[in-house]
Amino acid sequence: MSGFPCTPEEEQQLQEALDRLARMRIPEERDLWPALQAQLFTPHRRGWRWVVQRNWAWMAAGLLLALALIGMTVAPRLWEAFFLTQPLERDRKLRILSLTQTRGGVTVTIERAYADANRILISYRVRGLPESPAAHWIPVLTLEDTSGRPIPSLIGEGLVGASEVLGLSLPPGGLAGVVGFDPWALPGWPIHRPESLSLRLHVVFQAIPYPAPTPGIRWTQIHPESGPVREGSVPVTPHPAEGPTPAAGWRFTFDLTVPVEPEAAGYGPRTEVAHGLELTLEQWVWAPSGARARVCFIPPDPQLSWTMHEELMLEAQDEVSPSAPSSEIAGGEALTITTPILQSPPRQQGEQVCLDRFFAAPQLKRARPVVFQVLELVGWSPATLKPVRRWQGPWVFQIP
Amino acid sequence: MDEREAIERWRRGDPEGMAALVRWYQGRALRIAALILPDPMQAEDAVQAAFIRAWMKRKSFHPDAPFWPWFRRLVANEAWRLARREGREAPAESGPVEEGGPDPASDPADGWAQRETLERLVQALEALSPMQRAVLTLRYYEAMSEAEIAETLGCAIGTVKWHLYQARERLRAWLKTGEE
Repeated sequence: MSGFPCTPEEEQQLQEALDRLARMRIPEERDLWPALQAQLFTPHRRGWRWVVQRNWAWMAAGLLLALALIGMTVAPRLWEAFFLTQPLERDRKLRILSLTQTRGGVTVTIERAYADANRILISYRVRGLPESPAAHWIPVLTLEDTSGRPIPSLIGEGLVGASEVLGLSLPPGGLAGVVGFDPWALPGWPIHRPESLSLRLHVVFQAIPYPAPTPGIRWTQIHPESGPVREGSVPVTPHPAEGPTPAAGWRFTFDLTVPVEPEAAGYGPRTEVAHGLELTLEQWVWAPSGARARVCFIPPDPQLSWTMHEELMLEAQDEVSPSAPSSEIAGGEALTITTPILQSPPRQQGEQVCLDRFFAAPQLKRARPVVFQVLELVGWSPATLKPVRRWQGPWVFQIP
Repeated sequence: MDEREAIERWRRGDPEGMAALVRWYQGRALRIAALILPDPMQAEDAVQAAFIRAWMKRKSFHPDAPFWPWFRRLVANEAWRLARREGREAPAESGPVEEGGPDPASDPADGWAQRETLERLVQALEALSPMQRAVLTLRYYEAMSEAEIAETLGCAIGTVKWHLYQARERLRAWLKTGEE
């Protein structure tokens, strides 16, 4: 006898087992009609996307170019449509988790996760949220390691409803998003990285009032600690009091294990001087999710809040994707210049101020020799939020 | 409204006809999709996509034909399309099941009908590749012919036969020894 099933009895057993497996995977009755009805028979309510940043601010160029990127995106698949996950999903680097919990009629699925030297990404989908005429529900994700150490979030991106720009449509009561967390908050990081991270993720919900009905709108939250608001940023403060109150049961906790992508390259520290001011590139780390620089200096005036203008120059033979979420300004034929998409608020380290910059250039096949240069430092008045002092560079770092 | 009336109204573009067909067939369609796609949300995506395709193609549907066999093909096709896309990155499903494997000491020939054996069979099915599970599902759960399966999955009959053979061999091996 070869193979199973061979007899009618065995065939019946196989049918029963298949039925049991199917019912294990779809344990409850689902009604697809409301979602189908919304997709087929009602004009699409304007969908909207949001970008949430905590403790970080968008640079104007980054925001505009990210919007341009979204405009170019036609990928029908959800995680290829979000710019945070797009290149990693395309390269099949996101780990599929598909962890699902349902509470109070709301289902949260943690679909993908990814970690490398510079970033932890968690993607999720939610369904079953009650419709509200005044507000959208947005999940707030917090992450910690197994010892309870919080891992701060850097940036979030999400979609509610239907987006004509993305060519995506989520059913009523559904949303999807990606949140990036900062692994540099973990001890020893980024030098010492484990093979995998055991993490605990908490999900709660917050009501956000509807924005103006503009297609493809992105919502950016600027944390008060993020320093001066840049031109092009759109600070929006959520007003939970104006929206419905989340049900008490809408609290979800997931335990995840995420492999850490080993590919990374580091450089630093290296100090350069311009017009008498020392500036140190403490760390330069390249990883598939992008490159990150930490720059420290003793500010000329400690009373001011200091930021910097910088750029990253890449050798032109580097293969840059046309959808790269960075500016690609031809610097002759020799160089491509990118600007950062994330900047940190100033971080005080003794007398020094340290600034982090994140360049989302994962499309580069590998960190070819690059030049990172700080063009100028700008001192902002904390009272007026206006620049009152500038220190010209450049401080030029050749990264091998 | 009976099925014939629902089909007529659906073909005319009446949402009520569509609603009736969705509510009658969504459960069965979801189960097929869930057997091909391990992620329940993807299974839902596949069934929704199949219903949308059905709506788009309703004019070409023969009014006297039964709805389910026609729609079942759309469901399996959509689920397999998604499974193929995910296949390159999905955790290997062909490896041994991590926990709860069968006890090799027991003789499966003693009691196929026993609940324990059924549980083993479910585990064994989960350990199959998406293609193997898809052909088994269509062949034994939906009683489709090999030719129909080949047309639905967009491959040759020989390919279907091969995967059916492989799937059945693996099921037998698993049930005998707990491993492949």
